[in-house]
This record gives sequence, structure tokens and C-alpha cells, in this order.
Amino acid sequence: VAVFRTLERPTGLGPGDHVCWAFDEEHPFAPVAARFLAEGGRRGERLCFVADGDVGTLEGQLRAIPGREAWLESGQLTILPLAGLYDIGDCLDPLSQIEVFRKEASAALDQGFTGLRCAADLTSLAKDPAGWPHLRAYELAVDAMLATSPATCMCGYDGERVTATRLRPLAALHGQQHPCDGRGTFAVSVGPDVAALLGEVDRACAADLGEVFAAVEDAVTGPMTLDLAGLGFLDIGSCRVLAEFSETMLQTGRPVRFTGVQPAARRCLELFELDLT
Amino acid sequence: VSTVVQPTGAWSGVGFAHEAFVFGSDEEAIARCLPFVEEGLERDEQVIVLAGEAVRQALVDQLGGDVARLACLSPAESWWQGGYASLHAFDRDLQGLLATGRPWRLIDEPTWMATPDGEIWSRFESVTNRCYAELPCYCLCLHDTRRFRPRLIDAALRTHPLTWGGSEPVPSAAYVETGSYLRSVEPDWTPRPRRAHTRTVTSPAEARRVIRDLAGGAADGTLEENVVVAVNELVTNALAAAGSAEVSSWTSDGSMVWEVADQGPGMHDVTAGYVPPSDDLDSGRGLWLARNMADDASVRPEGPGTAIRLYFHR
Repeated sequence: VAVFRTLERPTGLGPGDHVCWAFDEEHPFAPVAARFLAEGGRRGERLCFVADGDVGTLEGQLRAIPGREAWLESGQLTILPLAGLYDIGDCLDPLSQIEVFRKEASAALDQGFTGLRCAADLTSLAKDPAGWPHLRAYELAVDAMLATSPATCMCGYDGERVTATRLRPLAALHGQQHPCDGRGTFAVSVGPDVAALLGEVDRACAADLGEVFAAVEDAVTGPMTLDLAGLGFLDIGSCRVLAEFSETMLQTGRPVRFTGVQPAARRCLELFELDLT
Repeated sequence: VSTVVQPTGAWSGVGFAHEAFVFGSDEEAIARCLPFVEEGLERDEQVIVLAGEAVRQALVDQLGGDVARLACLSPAESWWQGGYASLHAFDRDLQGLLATGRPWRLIDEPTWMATPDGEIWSRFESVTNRCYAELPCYCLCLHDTRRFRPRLIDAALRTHPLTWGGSEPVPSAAYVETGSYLRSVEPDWTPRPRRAHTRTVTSPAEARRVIRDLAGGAADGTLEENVVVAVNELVTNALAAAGSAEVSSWTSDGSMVWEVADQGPGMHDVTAGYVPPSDDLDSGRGLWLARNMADDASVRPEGPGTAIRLYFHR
């Protein structure tokens, strides 16, 4: 079941959780990642930390993890420079990256771990505007993969290097969010049969919602169902985005059916002649 | 000396004509409707009849095979969905008629006005004079004095520019312009009471927290959600106009009253939100929805900025 919640702390998380953690210079990512990974380590999960920099520097950033040395030595904790994992010079290939991730999660179980937990500072992937559609697709695909894999993932983005207008839609592709500006109000999750819109959406986040559904439009190849059962509020401004999305999808032979529509939301959506069930 | 009956007077298929025909017997209604329909068929206009049993049966008996040429012959009641939904459905039907490029005439017997929630229809009758002024349509509205209380008949004569003069339509002496009529039936704009709770908000999310806080305990879950949706739309408009909005709430005569005010350029159009939104995705729907979800509403007629009140009966 898709969920949406905002986080104050990087703990209390488990398999299936997909976290976006926005950070800044005053509250950097590494200590947060250390707490996140330490929780997984105590649960017997295999751990992975990905960020910009060389291995030695990144190891140093995780010094707050109790037992770090033993975990590194046993192979429970792996540290990977971002440049080695993703070919930053080129556009990200979401599907092949996801396949690597899925295999790693499966391998972790084969190796006797209880799952895979990964913390990755992806700021560098978000800097190039040409790569944004690929990054959005990647985040959507990670979210879908986490629904069926024994993995927990935290994506860090530097709120001082990634603009808020870019960061907010990226954050909305995660079910758990630590927004740097307190404006995270919704999430979108796309599964094999049904997508879900969760939280609250209004005109103030309509542009973000449009960005998110542009990613959904790129990812979905056939007719789709959009479940609104987890949506606590929507207004006319956000309905308009959904109507535009639905219209575009219909024009390309991919009709959208809305389910789980709550009574108040129905009053709004009915003004746009959408397929409500 | 026989008088020549001109069922639509000087109307020639251009512009909107709107008549209230008041009658007290089936015979009177039939005598008005039959020539009206026959003239429409002669002119090859589209003829739509939404009327009671007596009129419909008379048309079937008198028109013979021509009854098949009517674009629609249905009971009036089948069409009522509540004020806003009915006008919206009516509006969509009109777009289809407009697309044919031919004028049309309509007989409409708003029997639902005799029901408790049907009286609001008189406001929409008034609004059509303004929002449909360009449509090539003659709308003949039947009002049966055996069914309607005197004040509904009075409302009909105040909201229809035309009435029946015996041989042709004539101006209704009681007719009042749309804005004046709406002001006369909406709640008076009185000063906000001192007991009102007032907060200033700068985002829709903040507004919803305030609305839920102020409405909490004063309304059941469904009513509270309706309040949240409706007031949120007013706040959204206010924020777009002025960047901040003042949300106030109080109770009066058993109703929750919500006011949203801003310091923007100012909007005092009493018909705002009464006109159905077009299918164009960019067209405004917020105030339409807010009015639809509330039991009543009013727009402050003057003053700096905009202030709108919604009333919810508990």
C-alpha cells in the first residue's frame, strides 16, 4: 500500500520505504545517512552509502556509525563514489540502474542479510537540466521497485544546489519526505497496475504536480488507474492538472480511470468530466 | 375581430428572449404552447419541450406526425438535479444546440421550484438573462398558479424580461436587472460581527489548517470537508489577487458564516460564480464550486479589495 508522510528523523524506516531527504550546509547529509544506515545495520541489513567524493573521504563522513569498521570489514557496509555508480557524464539510464539495484537487493538476501538499505546523495544527478527527465524516471522506477524488493532507500538532495522548483517534484516521487522548506504535501507512486496520489494537493503545488505527472506520463505505456483513496484534499487548481494529464493520456491512447475518489474531491473532479468510479 | 397571435413577437431567432407565462389552467397553458411550438417547426428551429403532462399530451394529440420533429419532449421533473448541477447540465446542452448553427426555442416548466430546494432556481433564471444574452434562443417558462405560491410567481415576473400580453410577449413590468435581483435575494451584507474569529493566511495549506481549526466541533465531518473545499477556493482566489487573505468565521441564525477578504484590485460582481464554467480547462471554477457547496453566498457590493461570504446551514 502506497504511503505518504513527512519525516523529522531518518529512523523508524523499513523495507519498501523510499525517502527523500533535503539537506543544506547547516544540516548536511552524511550524519543523517549515518543514522539511517546504523538503524539498518542493527537489523541485519546490508548497507550502501553513495555520494560524491573518494572512498576514504566518504568513510570518514560515516564515522558516527557505531561498529562502522566491523561492518566495512565484513562487507555489510559498502561505500561507493557516485561517479563510479552512475555515469554522470551521460544521461542516467533508469531501467538498467534499477536492475542493478534489484539484483543487489536479491543478493543481499542470498548472503544472509535481512535486506538492502541504501543512502545516496544524488545532488550531482539533479544539476543538469537535460538529465531531469531521466532522474524523474529513475526515482519513479526506484519507488516501484521498492514495493516488491526487500530494500530501503534514502535519496539525499542538497537544497542549496538543487532549486526548490526542481526539488519539490523530485521529493514528491518519494513516499517519505524530509522537505527543506516544509512544503512537501503530496507523493505519487506508480505500481504495475495502479498509480496512487497521496497527501494534499492544491493550486500552490500545481506546478510541482504537473512536473510529477509529466514523469508519470513518460513512464506509463497503457491505460492506467489513478487511486485517490489516500488523497486528503484537492482543489480546483490541482484538478486542472489532473484533467490536463488525463486529456494528454487519452490523446495518446492511454485513458486514465480515477478510483477511490472521496466525496469532497468528487465535487471538484466532476467539474472536469473525468472518468470517476 | 380576431387578434393575430404572435407567439414570439418580434423575436427572429437572434439573441436571447426569456418569458414567464403565468397560467391557472391546462387550457391556458396549451393555448400558449401549441402555437409557440408550431411556429418553431414552421421556421425549422429546434424545439425542446420540458413540460408537465397536460402540455405534453396536448402536443402529442395536436401535432400528429410532427411531434417526431421535436428535438425533445420530456417531463420537466426529469431534468432537475439541484440548482447548480441543473444549470451546468443546461449549459452543456446549450453548447450542443449552439453547435448546430440553428436557433432554438424551449418550453420549460420548472415544477421543481415548488420543492424546498427548488426555489433557488429563480436566481439562475435571472442569471441566464445576462450570461446567455447572445444565444439564439426563445425560452418560454411556464408558471402554474395552482402549483406555485404567490411569491414564486412574483419571482418569475422579476426574473423574466418578458411575460405574455394575450397576443404577443410584452415586457414584464416587475422585471429587475440580474444584479439587483440577486442582491435582493442573497443575504444582506452587514458588518462583520465582533465575535467573528479572524486569521490572516498566506498559503492554501495554512488556510486549511485555520479552517479546520475554526470549524472543528462546529460541523460534522462531511459538512466540515465541504467548508474546507469551498473556503479554500475563495482563499486561492484571494491569494492570487493579493498574496494574502483574511479568513473569518462566525455563526448567525443557525448558519456558519465564512468570509474571505483580500486587498487586491477588487471584485464586486454579484453574478460571479453563478455562471457555469466552460469546458475550457483554463476557465475559472473555484467560485462556482464554492457557491455550489455552500447553502448561500454573497459578494460585498463595494469597498476596497474583495470580500465574499459563504453560508452553511447546520
